[in-house]
Amino acid sequence: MTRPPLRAVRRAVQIGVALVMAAVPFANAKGVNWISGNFLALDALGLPLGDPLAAAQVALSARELARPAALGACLALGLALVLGPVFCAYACPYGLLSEWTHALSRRLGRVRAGRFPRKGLSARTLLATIGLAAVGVFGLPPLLNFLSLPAAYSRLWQYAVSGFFWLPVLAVPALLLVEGLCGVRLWCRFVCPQSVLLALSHRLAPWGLRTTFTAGRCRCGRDDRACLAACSLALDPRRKAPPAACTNCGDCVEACRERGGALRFALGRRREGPGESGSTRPADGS
Amino acid sequence: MPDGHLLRPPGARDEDAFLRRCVQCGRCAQLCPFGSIFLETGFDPRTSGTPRIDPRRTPCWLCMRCPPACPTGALRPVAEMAKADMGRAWLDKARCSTYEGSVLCKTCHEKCPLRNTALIMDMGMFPVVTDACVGCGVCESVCPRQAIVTLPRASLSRDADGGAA
Repeated sequence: MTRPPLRAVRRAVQIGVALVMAAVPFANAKGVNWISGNFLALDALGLPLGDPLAAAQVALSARELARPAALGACLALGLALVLGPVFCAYACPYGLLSEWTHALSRRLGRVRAGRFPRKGLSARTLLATIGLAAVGVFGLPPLLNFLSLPAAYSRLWQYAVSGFFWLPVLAVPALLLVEGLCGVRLWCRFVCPQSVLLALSHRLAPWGLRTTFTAGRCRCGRDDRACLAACSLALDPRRKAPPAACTNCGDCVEACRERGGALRFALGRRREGPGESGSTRPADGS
Repeated sequence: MPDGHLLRPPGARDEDAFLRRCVQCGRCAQLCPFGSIFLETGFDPRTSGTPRIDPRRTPCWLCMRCPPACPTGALRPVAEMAKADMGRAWLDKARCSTYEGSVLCKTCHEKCPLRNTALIMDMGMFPVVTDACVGCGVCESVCPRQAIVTLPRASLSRDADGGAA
């Protein structure tokens, strides 16, 4: 029995999450309440899950944080600590739309490497830091939640149940159009503040799941790199750099499978096995 | 809504403290069995997505299921109706049928979840809103003359000396 490709599994999970989150407000309206909330704070079967950035804003602004929010944030950060920011690759509905837009863009020949700087995580971290500082110093409401596109997706359905249409959600198709024209996943790479704490959390755990590169197994040439072409975030898995921006989507691993399998998932820093030459190093994460 | 303040769900903290804590998850609205709570729309990142109640649309029936659903404590986990503390009803006697003398109407009193404490009948006829009113908005929603307005607590604290009566 052949194993289903990781990409197919990932797509199924992404679409499943998007469908479930769209159905939640309608299910709640029918009295089905075992799951409720949105991507900012969710409760499923009594298990709280929440956006750590939303919880951090409340903690900084109100100088306290209720237990469910704290627990939900800790669970999300704990998951990211071990598995990396997999929320971005496996659950975020905007990530799914952005990936589809990027794929279409690629087919239309609009994707070109080197068009934008690689230091996307730095830009996102700066935005998140400024936002958190402003909220904490001035005691503001959690303003960064307004930039949460997964939450915007959830809200669209939450408003729909009440008979409203939330106009700000129109920014999403506009943003996707811009990303499609640029051929770059702008929001996920340079703006999204919600992914920052997840990425930083993963950075704290050297034993967490990572894509590792074994140079001795790589059959690609210098300018023929299937892994780089496969990464929609334009990360180079073969470069030695901080891995924080990698979402562990596995697209590079899939692309590399037929080319020697130099890229693999491993916990921590993978050691070279017998017969393998060259270096091992974590994937790039600009 | 008077002064632009919003009527918040039961147990809501003071407006500033509420806004600092509310993460706009919408759980309170989703778990409300009456559909009384809906999320504020608009482009204002401070209030957009926060829960509110419009009594003329659907009032709060004080089932008290929303406070424990709040994950951040923006809604204090109160369980008693009498502690909902959302605001207070204000009765315009000039519009009330009973005070006007046209019809003896007791609709507000009959529907009030805190009947005989929040809303009493003076001389058995004239409705009077007391300090025990929590501002659920039921009386406003059922008043056939639209003589009652529910004032959010935030607007009461700004204008502590007047209005509600």
